[in-house]
Amino acid sequence: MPERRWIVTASGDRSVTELAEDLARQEFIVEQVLVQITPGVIIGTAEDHVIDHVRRIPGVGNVAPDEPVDIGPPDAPIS
Amino acid sequence: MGEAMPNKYERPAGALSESVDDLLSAALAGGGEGLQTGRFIATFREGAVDAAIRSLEGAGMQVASAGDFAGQAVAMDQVGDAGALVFPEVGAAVLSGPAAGERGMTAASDIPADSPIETIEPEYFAFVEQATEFAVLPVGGEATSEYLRGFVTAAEAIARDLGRQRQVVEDEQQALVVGTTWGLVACRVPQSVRTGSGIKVAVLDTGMDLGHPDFSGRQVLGETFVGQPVEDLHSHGTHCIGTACGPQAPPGNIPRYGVAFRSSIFAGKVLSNSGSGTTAGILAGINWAIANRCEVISMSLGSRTPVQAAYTAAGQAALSNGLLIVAAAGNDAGPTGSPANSPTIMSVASLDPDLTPSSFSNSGKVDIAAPGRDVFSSVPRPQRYGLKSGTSMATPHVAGCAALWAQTSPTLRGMSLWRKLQETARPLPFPRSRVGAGLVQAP
Repeated sequence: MPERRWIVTASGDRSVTELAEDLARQEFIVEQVLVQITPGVIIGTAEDHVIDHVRRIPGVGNVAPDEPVDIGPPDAPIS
Repeated sequence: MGEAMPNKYERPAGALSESVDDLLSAALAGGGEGLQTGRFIATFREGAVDAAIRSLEGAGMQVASAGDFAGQAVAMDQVGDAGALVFPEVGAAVLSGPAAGERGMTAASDIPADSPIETIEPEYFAFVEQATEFAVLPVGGEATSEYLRGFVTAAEAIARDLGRQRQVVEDEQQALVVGTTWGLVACRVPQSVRTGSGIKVAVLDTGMDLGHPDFSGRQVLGETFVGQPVEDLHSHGTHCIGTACGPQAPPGNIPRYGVAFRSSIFAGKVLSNSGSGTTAGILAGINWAIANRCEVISMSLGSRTPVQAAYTAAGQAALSNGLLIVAAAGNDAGPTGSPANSPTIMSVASLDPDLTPSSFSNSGKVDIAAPGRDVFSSVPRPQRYGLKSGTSMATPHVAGCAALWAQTSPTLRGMSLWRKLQETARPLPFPRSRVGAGLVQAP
């Protein structure tokens, strides 16, 4: 199964660093922990089946796939 | 050919196998107009292709030819360490910077009269023609007059809407108006005594042309979140930063196009030079702007997605820190996209010069509106200036005005700044779902 990148928004029930460590133990490859966006956002990659598990971990508020954003090429008429 | 490519940082500048983007980055970083690639074009005398090749080889150059490729379709990244690439059909060759320099074959060199090479000239970058009319304004001349004529027409339209009592723009106001973009006039920026001094404005976009002459001497901090240098090779980021933070007095006949001309600029590159990014990179950029306590964070980007929890958390974290995130509502003539649709992020709709909502502007969750059609601002060198349209252009008008308001009082931060922008906006005869509280106004 391919890995995708995920955005995990912490719920604030526990420290985001602790949560990141927990995720890492669950086959979730932690790439970034954004601590300014309280209570914390963790960005990482994992296979889809891992995410079902991740959603149930205490301290996880929301899990969403990383999505593309595109403003178009330099000569786009509207941007 | 077919040799292993040297590490990008070991390859000398102006090599034949360098990508156009790398050549352009290097040229722009070197200052000046960034028009020359660092390579040279040698044109041969008629019928002297073979003699020219022998001459180049005789000078010790490794010579590749388009004839080496199937169908003479050259792949520049496969010429390896060749110092010259010959185009036999054209009767010319491109010489790498280092090879030309080492053998006295640059544009500055004297060519012997009996040489099979007729001329050697610098190689220049070529750019797509802008789709808009005013990509380059020469100093004086027809283009400037056209622009000013069009601008005065727009100004009169605004005056008609604004002052039912007045049919004619007063002389003094006309003079003010002619030297400024329609958008700044509509936001009452020229009359403001505020400059944005002491306020940090983060613009998360395609980066910035750091060497643009209009920003020399300005405090600019750049950071990239997309694996490409901050230098803007797209144009969108430079244009948005121009609107939010451009200079009080641009050179020559260029009208003033920027709001908070003394603000500190934080250029976060969260979109690549092709205009694409992802939520993860954008969140990393917001995280950086919050860490730097940027009072205003401007995001002219988004996608057609429902409210994203991470963006809402980001907006909330900003507000809790006394910072304000403003984002473009989007250009699909549909419901506001993310991140602007988060309740903790201020959503900006676009207005045309007659102060009606732009046809492309999204609606629904809209907090405020600003000029977004035919907005004149800075773009990367060599064009330097250009027109763009979109809620992307409206957003930095709000960001710039927010910086001016923030300067008026240290109590205007985060949510109180949001409320002040809405309270002081000029009401418009359109539903809140299209224009929010109305047209943003400067203090």
